[in-house]
Amino acid sequence: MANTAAHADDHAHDDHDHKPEGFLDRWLFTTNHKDIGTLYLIFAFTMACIGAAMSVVIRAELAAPGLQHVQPYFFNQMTTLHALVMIFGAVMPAFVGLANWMIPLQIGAPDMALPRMNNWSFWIMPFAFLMLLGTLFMPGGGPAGGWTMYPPLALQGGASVAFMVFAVHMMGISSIMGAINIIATILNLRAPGVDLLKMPLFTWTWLITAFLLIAVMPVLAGAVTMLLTDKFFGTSFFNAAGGGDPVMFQHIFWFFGHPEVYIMILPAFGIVSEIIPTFSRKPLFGYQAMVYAVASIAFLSFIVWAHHMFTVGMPLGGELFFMYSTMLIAIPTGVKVFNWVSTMWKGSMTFETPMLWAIGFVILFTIGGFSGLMLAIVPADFQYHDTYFVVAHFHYVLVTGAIFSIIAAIYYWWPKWTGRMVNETWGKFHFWWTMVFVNLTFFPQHFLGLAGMPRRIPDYNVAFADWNLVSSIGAFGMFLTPFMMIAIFAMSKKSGAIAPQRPWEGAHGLEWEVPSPAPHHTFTTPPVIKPGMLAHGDVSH
Amino acid sequence: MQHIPANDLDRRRAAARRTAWIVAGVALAVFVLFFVQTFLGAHHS
Repeated sequence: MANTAAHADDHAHDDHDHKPEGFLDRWLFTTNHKDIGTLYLIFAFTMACIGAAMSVVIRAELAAPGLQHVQPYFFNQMTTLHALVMIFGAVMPAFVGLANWMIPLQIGAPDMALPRMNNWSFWIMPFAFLMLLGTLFMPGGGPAGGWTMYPPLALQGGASVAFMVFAVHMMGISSIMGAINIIATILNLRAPGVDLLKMPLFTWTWLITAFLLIAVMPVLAGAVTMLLTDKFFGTSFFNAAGGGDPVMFQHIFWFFGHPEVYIMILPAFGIVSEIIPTFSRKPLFGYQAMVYAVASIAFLSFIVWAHHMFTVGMPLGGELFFMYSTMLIAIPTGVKVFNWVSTMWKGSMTFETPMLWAIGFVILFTIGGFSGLMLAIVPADFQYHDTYFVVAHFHYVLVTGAIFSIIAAIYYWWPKWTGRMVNETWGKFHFWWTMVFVNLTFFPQHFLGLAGMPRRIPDYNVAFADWNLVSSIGAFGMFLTPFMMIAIFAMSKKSGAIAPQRPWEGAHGLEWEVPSPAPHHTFTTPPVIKPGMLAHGDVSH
Repeated sequence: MQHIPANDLDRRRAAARRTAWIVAGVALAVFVLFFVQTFLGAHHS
């Protein structure tokens, strides 16, 4: 038996870098988790560039009071599509791409559990977004009622409503299939010895995120289906004239929408929890507390949704419940920030590019967390609601939170993916450039919101002119960063230093046990886990 | 290096397929429940 197994292993070693020949076979019909991960990441980057271009249209229009460049209706299409593209096209697929690449490597699995469904999950996405973005070229233009699609406003669009709804359905199907795959992979394909409480934090956060996706994406699908039937099939779910209730849509939407916020941030927590211990050369402080904190945040995300809609008018008891439940989230989030800081405390820290992005995440995400706490306070929210303060808050959470972590992850795992190191000088330049301009863009929006500037408007009072100009200058600076990234990573791929198997001195975990670049097939035979190899749950302090 | 028999991976893959069907069933149930509940709610108001 041992001989047979050894022979099988030799055979696997012979074949482990065998890639399908031909472009279509390699990419269109791929069932390989690494290739699908790469496709997701390229798709997410493309969508991020499109979304960033829309943000430049928005900020160019807002650089000065009065109408400058675009008509108000087109401005509304830009705000709506910028959000939809960035949330469903950039941030979520980027995390799914990272999950595809790293989860099988981190748990010692040969691939995702359902590789053909994995292919389907990805290839739905480009068609969904072609359909969504195609609405811009239709008579009447694209959806313009905001990404939240509140009726009756969202239903006043033309045929674009149907396209948007169908695109959201397709994204939802893709996300659900991706989540099913991740859950089945983590629960069933872990190598012997990778116990649940020894898994890397990135895998843990993705397991919890996948359950969130399963719980809420069908709710979004239901909500937009009802929008569709209200618009085209004569139902009155959300139509007050027909006995329906438009506020009910807001409740259903945010029952999806708030867990969605955590879908976009829990994997970021996982990434940062991988990077900080590596560059602090210490095990993660409070590993189990981190896992339970993520689970707590996921649970709480289901009972806070109405804090997005305090101003619709709800009973005082409801307002108090949603205010206090929202504030409770600060506790597990505080545990996480405390543990990241404690991991760094007295560590032998170095500040390579991935670490800079991770520390940037901790500091700036915390700012977004604090402004979230301010928004949770009901009487204060009546002042802040629908102002630029909200815009500032969620961009701190999503840009300096989610996107910073995605960039950190790319810098961190790039040597494993490509076998090449990234130029540290340019990586650090990229980080500091982004730090300056991201804060220039979004910090002044707090002031604008507190002064009363409403969101989703193309024109504004001259009193808001100065900080809007500052914010627009920041956005133009930010728009250069995708091009910077292309140049930095193209340079690395072409002529970067050869990466060793473990390019970061303090890195532990199964992904660093395979060569760089990772062969096309890895762990066809499950690895044998030695003490300390996982550097997470099996390392004591 | 200790090796795990190949059929163990097959067994775990089969278990993964079962897990996938269960999770897919949960997702479908959430969709149906929300749709039906909202439908009934809309027609009772």
